[in-house]
Amino acid sequence: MSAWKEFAKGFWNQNPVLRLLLGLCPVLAVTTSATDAIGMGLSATFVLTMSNLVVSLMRKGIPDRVRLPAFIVIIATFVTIVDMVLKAYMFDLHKSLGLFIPLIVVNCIILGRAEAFASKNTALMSMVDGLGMGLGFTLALFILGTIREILGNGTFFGMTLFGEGFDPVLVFVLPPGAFIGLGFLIAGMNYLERRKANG
Amino acid sequence: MAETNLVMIVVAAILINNVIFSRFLGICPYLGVSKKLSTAFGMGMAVVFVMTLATALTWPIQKLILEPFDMGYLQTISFILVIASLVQLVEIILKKTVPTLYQALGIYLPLITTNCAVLGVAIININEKLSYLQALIFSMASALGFTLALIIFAGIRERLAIRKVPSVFAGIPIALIVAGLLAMAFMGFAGLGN
Amino acid sequence: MSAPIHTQPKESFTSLLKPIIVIVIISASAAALLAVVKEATRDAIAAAELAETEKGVKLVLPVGVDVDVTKTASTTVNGKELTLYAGTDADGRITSVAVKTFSQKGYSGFVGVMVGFAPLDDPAALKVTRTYILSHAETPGLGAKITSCQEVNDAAECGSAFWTRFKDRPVDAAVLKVDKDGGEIQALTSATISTRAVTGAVLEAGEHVKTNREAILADLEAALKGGSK
Repeated sequence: MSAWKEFAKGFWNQNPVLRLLLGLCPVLAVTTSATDAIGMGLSATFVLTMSNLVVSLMRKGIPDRVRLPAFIVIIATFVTIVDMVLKAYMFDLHKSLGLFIPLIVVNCIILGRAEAFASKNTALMSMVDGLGMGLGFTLALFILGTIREILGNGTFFGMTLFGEGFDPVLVFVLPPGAFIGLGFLIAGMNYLERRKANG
Repeated sequence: MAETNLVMIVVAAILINNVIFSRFLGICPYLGVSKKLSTAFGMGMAVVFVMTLATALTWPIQKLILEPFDMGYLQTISFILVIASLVQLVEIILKKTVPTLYQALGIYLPLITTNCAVLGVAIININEKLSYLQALIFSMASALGFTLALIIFAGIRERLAIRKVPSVFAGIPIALIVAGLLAMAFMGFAGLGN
Repeated sequence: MSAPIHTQPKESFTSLLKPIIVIVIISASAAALLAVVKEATRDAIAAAELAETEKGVKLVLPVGVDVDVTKTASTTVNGKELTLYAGTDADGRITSVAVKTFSQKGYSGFVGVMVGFAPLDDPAALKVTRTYILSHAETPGLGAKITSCQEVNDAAECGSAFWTRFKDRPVDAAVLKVDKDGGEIQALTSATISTRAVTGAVLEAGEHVKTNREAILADLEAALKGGSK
């Protein structure tokens, strides 16, 4: 596949959240605001791209028996780097994302791509795959985050949208809203895929 | 003695702050394994075992090694390596002692490593400044809450499988919506602390 | 057993050793890389954390008071470790104290609280100056309202925001309790548990400061002279 196709697949056809159904934990937790959603998405994209790169570069040197622990150490290293950099330069975002920053290490997307792709492909393609999947992840987070923030809080990126009279539908920023919102989003994706296949 | 008594920790972890419906941890396996009641229960028990043992090991590592030597930044790496090793151990033990369960759980057993609930709870123990005893109780209770959610869900899904659902909603979307309704029900436990 | 004996042990030895060596090399490189990044970000992180603490401390101490957040003392109450920051007047005397405490009894568990108390020279008249929530995981729209309007120090502007309910309240067990529990602190709508958690932490810290005033003043004096304890 060409580099562009590798990149684009992660965005739509094989969107990790909406089609492959991976990495769902942070999706539900950090999508109460569009800012947090993008922050998490880009952090995960960085980890995914870098770990894909390193795993790919080392793929011939890692014995099969220890490939999972090796991948885990590599991924955990980049997660820790992101954690420290965010704490140093984006303190408020670090506070909002909280627990879910270290949890990037168990995001099934990242381990999944290392195993399924980076360990079997060239460095360039692996980076591109990571970038595509990561941005697809960010896209899904952003869509859900925007919906939940606008409907549940009346704001977008922290800016109040509606006047005094608007009463936000609180349930959207609460756990039930997260589950139901994501459920509808995935159903929506299924619908679009079906139409594309038939049309 | 610390201010929060142990019974409250258990009740809170299972009902009020259920690890899935309130903290959003452990969703992937939750959606994947909960199709059958029997596997759901087996998975839950495996998670209870791993989560409690993970806390038993990670808490001392943090307090006796990482903190005194200013190596807090190695928390993520060390914790996840401990968890990965524990899961390997559980796999070996299960394969030898209860091979039927080992077969039934299949790929979901090694996937306990990537269960955000396990790593998440290990980190929560530290962030919320729990004592060793509180942490052990908290992790066991959280895992029981996870199992409870899994079992309720499997029960519902077993019945849902034979009903007609609009095709775009079939599978994960309807599962998520049911989870949302369950989450709403669990929010009703809010006043229990009083 | 067809292979010659002298090559067999060598093969299994290598196949066992190589994976271990690879893991050790990877882990060691990872630890080294992280140590480098930690050093590189050390100052920025410390500065960011200090700015955060300073913001909270300055908000809870009375207006016009000086404070150096790098000079702290600590004290323990009920197994909890509290951090203390001294508020000094123009003559350098310690007139107020900011206490960093927490509660584990929030709806979602941990709530970090910064609370100020003054005046320190008259224990009978000790009052809460202000509260500031440092961290929490309370429910958005309900318990999360404990942080509403708290970046501002103007009670008039903030109406009945959570922090205003504690402002200038005497450190007295009859007052510093939720109204439903017999005190005077009005509970947040649908967030009694969050309210109770913060109120409990504030009362606990206040009574501790009142009872141990002498020792705390001494510790703070020492901290101001010689750096953090």
